[in-house]
Amino acid sequence: MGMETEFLSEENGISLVVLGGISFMFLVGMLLLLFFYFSKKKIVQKELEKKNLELTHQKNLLEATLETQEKERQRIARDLHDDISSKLNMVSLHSDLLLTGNLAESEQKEALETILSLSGKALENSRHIAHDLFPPVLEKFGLDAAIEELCSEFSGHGTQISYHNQSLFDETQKSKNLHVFRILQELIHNSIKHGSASHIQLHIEDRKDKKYFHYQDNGKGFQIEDKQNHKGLGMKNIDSRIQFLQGSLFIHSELGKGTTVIFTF
Amino acid sequence: MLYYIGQFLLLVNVVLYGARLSGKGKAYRFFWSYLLAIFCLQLVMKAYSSQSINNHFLSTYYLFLQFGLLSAFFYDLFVPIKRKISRLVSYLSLAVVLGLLIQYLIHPEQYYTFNSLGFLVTTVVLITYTVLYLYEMLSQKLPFYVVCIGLFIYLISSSLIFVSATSLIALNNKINTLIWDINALLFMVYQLLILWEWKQSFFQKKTG
Repeated sequence: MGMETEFLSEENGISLVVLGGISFMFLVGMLLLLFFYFSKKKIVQKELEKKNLELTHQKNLLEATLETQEKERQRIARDLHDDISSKLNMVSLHSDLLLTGNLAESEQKEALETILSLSGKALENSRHIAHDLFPPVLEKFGLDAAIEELCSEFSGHGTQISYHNQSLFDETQKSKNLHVFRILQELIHNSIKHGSASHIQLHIEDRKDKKYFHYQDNGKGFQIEDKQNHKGLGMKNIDSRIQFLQGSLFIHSELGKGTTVIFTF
Repeated sequence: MLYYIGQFLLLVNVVLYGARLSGKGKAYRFFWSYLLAIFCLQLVMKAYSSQSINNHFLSTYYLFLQFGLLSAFFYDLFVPIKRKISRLVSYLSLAVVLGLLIQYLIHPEQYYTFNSLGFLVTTVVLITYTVLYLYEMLSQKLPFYVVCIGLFIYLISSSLIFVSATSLIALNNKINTLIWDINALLFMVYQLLILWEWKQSFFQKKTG
């Protein structure tokens, strides 16, 4: 009898161990599943946040693009009004004067000369505006020539620009080249207008199947941390164009030490 | 009772999965073959035990069929996700099968008994596959996820039952029955999850 109870209790012990083991395994399994479930939830949430951030960034860029477009329109309207309309107005006034007669020959000649000079200026101005809107050199002779022209245009007036190009541009990619041209236009414009730079260096080469642009000026520079500089339309514009080029942008600047911009695509 | 519910659900799954067999990938076919195989085996096992004939040799077939078909199932699931893991599955599974064959060659008498070591090894390997699959599921939506969860719970909980099966026989009938009832309950839950997967993933897709 005694042996039997001992045997039974031993049996109970084993069964308890087995049952406990089964429950333990079940619990561990459940915990692992819960772990997977919450990890997945967290990953999805993180992904969502990332997507939202990207979306906000893209929205900002779009806004900047629209704003730039609007500013550009204003500028064109002002140029047209100031440089062409006003001159044509004067031409019309002088023509009217000639028509009404009662003018001495010398006065007629003077009026005609004024008309000639004004229409000539209007013509030149319209060419300038057209050139600003889209440089014909870019279309006809390619990016390299356009950059060269850009540099020579801004050179003088106390600014010297040196340009070295060791890369070849694919002239079939017109929109890409236009982006590059606009970026450089903006950079040079910034260096001269905001940085009062007297010397600008631009160097282009191929690195690992990518175009590498090294731009450096000796202007006033700015503080990278200063958000104001990042929010400027010009910088946003450059940023969005780099995005279009699927490239990367690196800016380094210190107050009084000039600015270095490197971008690749 | 629980056993019969489980077996009935398994039959339902065999029929339902079988009805949607056309146009499905290899993984689906392997999974269906697995369901069919264990259904037939369990039927034969029950028939033997009801006639009071020793049915332990059938567990050998259960061991090989479950492991082989589920390995093939996981192999085909991993192929489109990560080639590395699918290769690992094929090598590991082949190695395990080879090891088992060697074990049976050295101890032919093993065929007539319940192979605890074999069940332990194959269960651990299959649990590894399910965990790998669950891990891959973290970053993407994958097919058979409910099945995978079901298999994971079933394997991890019942592993101890199968591994200790030979020593369980020594226990008195009452506890023995209780433990096998737990196994039947787990199996039932597993089959319910498989059924749920069918409803979720394959029920409405006939028209599509």
